[in-house]
Amino acid sequence: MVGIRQIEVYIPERRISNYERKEELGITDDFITDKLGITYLSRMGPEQDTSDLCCMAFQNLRGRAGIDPSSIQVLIVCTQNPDYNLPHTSAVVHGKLGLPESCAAFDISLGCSGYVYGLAVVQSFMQLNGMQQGLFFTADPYSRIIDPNDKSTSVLFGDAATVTLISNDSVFRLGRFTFGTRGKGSHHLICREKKLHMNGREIFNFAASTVPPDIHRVLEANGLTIKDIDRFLLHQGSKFIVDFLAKKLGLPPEKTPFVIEEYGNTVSSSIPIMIKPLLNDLSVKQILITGFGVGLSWASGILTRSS
Amino acid sequence: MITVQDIISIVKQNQMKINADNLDESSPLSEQGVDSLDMISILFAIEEKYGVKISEEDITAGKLASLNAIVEYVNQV
Repeated sequence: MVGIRQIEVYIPERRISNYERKEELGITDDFITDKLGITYLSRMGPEQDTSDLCCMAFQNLRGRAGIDPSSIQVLIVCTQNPDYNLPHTSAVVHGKLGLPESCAAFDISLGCSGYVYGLAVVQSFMQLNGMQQGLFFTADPYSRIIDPNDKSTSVLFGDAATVTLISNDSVFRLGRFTFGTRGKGSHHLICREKKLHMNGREIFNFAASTVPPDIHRVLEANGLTIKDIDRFLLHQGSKFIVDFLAKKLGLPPEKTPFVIEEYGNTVSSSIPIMIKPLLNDLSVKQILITGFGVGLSWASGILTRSS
Repeated sequence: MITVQDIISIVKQNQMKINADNLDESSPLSEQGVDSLDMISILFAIEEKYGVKISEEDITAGKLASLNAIVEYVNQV
């Protein structure tokens, strides 16, 4: 059974500061610290495209894990900010990385739930086709669609990319997933005329009402309870929503990290960024992951350390 | 029928930095240290607890600006 073998991350060095913009946006220091939990937002360079962010993550992976590109059998990119409408960004990445023509490549169009959905998709695809090595990228640079004058969105999102090596020699294997969609709410987080619009209240209400029961569902589907989980990796939308969900579910704070202060909400990259440091932490045996957001879409899953 | 104390209890559950017992019942909450995200979670808790649906239009119109206004709104629904 294939699972997560390695994860590498690329976060661009350039930053913009929420503190430097607080007067312009009419927000206080306490709001930045206690509610957003985000001081800086990472920004890709003007010369970079989504595929470039993926390639940078891959270079980090190649350096650490000694990957042979010719062994890659599938490449998936999760993004809603592709290089082009067509071709798919995974094809562009495939070309930039010089992967073999035998390699399958396709995109997944999902946002904050994308990593969890994507793990289920890549595992299923690889298992069905007897594959041993695949790359699953997340790269969704919202800087391309943010209105800098929109107080509700311009303080949240940062650019980043991750790559997960999916292999039959896994560190974490994947359990049962739960999924959900509320298409009737799709207009509450939408990009129109190349600008992002978000109804913060509706998105909060959506997360507050769907995520707690979904976490209970995924635990039940895997025959687990909250006490069995060593880490709860909730999508890092903001400190406000992570704190709210952790409190509502009674999750131990030490097991429910919030890590995005230095770069912001990186959409589908937020969960793999948190998994990466846990790969070599042998005390962490069971991880619950839950992604929720644009769609409105949500998904949860369980990762178990391979013996 | 809900009371101001019921709403104060909900505000306290939010664990905000302000002392909910010191809130003035008739002044807008936004002028007493309750920020926009606090209001979102307070209104969510009210909707959950009392089974009411609070519309965006009513919020924008200021119908839930103060503790007294919230009590009147919920009791009328």
